[in-house]
Amino acid sequence: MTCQEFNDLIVDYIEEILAMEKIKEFEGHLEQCSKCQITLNYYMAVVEGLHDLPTEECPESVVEKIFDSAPVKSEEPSLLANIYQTITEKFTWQMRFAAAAVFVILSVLLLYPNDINKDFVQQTYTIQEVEKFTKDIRLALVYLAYCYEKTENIIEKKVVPNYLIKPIKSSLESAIKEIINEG
Amino acid sequence: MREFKRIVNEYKSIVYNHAYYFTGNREDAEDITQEVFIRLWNNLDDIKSEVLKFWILKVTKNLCIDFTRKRKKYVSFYKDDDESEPVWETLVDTEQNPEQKAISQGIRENIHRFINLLPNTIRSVVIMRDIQDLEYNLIAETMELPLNSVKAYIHRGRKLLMKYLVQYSKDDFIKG
Repeated sequence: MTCQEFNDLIVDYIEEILAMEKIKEFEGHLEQCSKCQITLNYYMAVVEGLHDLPTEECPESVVEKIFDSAPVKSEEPSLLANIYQTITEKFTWQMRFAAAAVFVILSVLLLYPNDINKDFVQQTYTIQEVEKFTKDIRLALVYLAYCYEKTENIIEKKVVPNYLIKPIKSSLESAIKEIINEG
Repeated sequence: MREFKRIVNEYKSIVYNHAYYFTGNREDAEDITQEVFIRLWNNLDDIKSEVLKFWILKVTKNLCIDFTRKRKKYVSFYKDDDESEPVWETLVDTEQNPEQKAISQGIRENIHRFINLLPNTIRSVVIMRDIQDLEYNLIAETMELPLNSVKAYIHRGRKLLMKYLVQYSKDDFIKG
């Protein structure tokens, strides 16, 4: 390896992304070339010096000036935003999904044709109609439970293994193979 | 407004640090920081959250360069703030001698004095990578450069600093 080639590889050597063969060549040249030893020492001093520079804190006065420059807007969230936040905090997504589905189904059933009086006079239903409605609601709830279970199953058996565990496992295996090959 | 405050608190250090090390003085860094976030406020609705960091860095970098162009001076920390001796470039001394340790030490102690003597693009890249520890991809996007060019600029920046500092530290060692 020439000194020029050595120079060209310094960045990758410090970043630890050189292949094993190149590292051996690099370090082999380093052992024999005093000029490159000195260069690397000074280069490392520069890199370490830069890394050790302190993080300057932004003064609070600057932050205050920034906020003073920005027009003041009301920080009060809207009623809708408040309601949405409360619902998302208190109910899991499954509960929200089930509630929404029941709401939709009941709405559809309540709007069931023809029998609704526009003046909202209380309706009387025959026993058969009530039994039919009850059956429909039961069916809807069973179907809802089935959908929920299926979704949970899909997430457990397909989404998590295929889109979460498999990629992580595959990355780990490649990393381990690389380490074994290098070492 | 709450979102804006959160963003300011999250990014104020990154912006201020970059501006401080780029310009070499706190006043300019404060002005640039303020300007960055005022521009952010004016454009907040148009910026998607996934590109926010990149937008902030890019504006910071551009404002730093514009600022120094307008000022048309180097703020040199060479030796003392009042002196403005020119910096010279020399080859690395290849002799092995006892000075080397002192020079390495001198490099570490005085590096902050020479950062803002680097050319603008190299300066931005070195600050982002070596001081702020940002990822190469983010730097490449911010600077609108290919990844290899970013690495090349970093290497050039470090070598320039090395040249400046070796001579400065050697000078110091000889005198004192």
